[in-house]
Amino acid sequence: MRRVWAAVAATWALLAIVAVLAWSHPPTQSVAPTRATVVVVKGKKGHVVLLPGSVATHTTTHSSPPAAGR
Amino acid sequence: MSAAAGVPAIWLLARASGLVAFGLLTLSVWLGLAMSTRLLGPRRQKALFAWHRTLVWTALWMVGLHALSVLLDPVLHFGLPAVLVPFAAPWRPIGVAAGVIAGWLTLVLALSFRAKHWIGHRGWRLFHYASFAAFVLFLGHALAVGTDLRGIRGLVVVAIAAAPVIWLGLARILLPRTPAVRPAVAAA
Repeated sequence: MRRVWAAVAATWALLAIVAVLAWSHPPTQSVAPTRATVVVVKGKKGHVVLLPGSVATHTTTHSSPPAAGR
Repeated sequence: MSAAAGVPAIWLLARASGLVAFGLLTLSVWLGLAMSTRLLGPRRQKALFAWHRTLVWTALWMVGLHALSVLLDPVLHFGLPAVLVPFAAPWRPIGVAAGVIAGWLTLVLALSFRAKHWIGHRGWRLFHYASFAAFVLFLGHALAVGTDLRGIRGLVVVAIAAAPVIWLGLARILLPRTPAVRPAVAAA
């Protein structure tokens, strides 16, 4: 009976810790937007140009040079 | 098989079984020292001894589950030698080896209860001091490679687990031992 109690207690402790660990790691939110955003730009000749948002945002792997005077 | 995005359930099981095994082994060490210092009274020795053994075997089952779930983890890529042979792990070999050696040592210590008749009480008692080494190795393994015992949490766990061991160990060395209560022999 003692072994049964120990096994039951250990199993409950195991399940409780699994639940706490799973709860402390919530599903990660997707960084990518779900809908494509568009930017409305008015051209020189009055034309309206629609650009996808990803084109408008600029990303680079190059680091910026240090500011002058530093 | 995923409990949450990016966190496989097998990895949660590996961590949880490791923590439960460590908790059970810590309880077992506390109980063993409480018995040897007769802290909980000389009359309960038999029941305490039974619980001491049960806790060790339950912890060993959890150690087995921990090793199995680490083996099945798709990220770690641990082979059978990595979880059974010290220093064979491809990731943090020293930290993992501490756990592997501690696991084998605990298994031999648990089996030594059955071998008491052959090695004698004195030999068994001397060998049982190896449980301190196993405890320190488990602690080192948990701190070195344990995901959940980093930073302040690790220090708190070390303090909670080790403080009673140090306190009871010192009591065991410094305090005079009270003899075990034996059943009274009928005088006539």
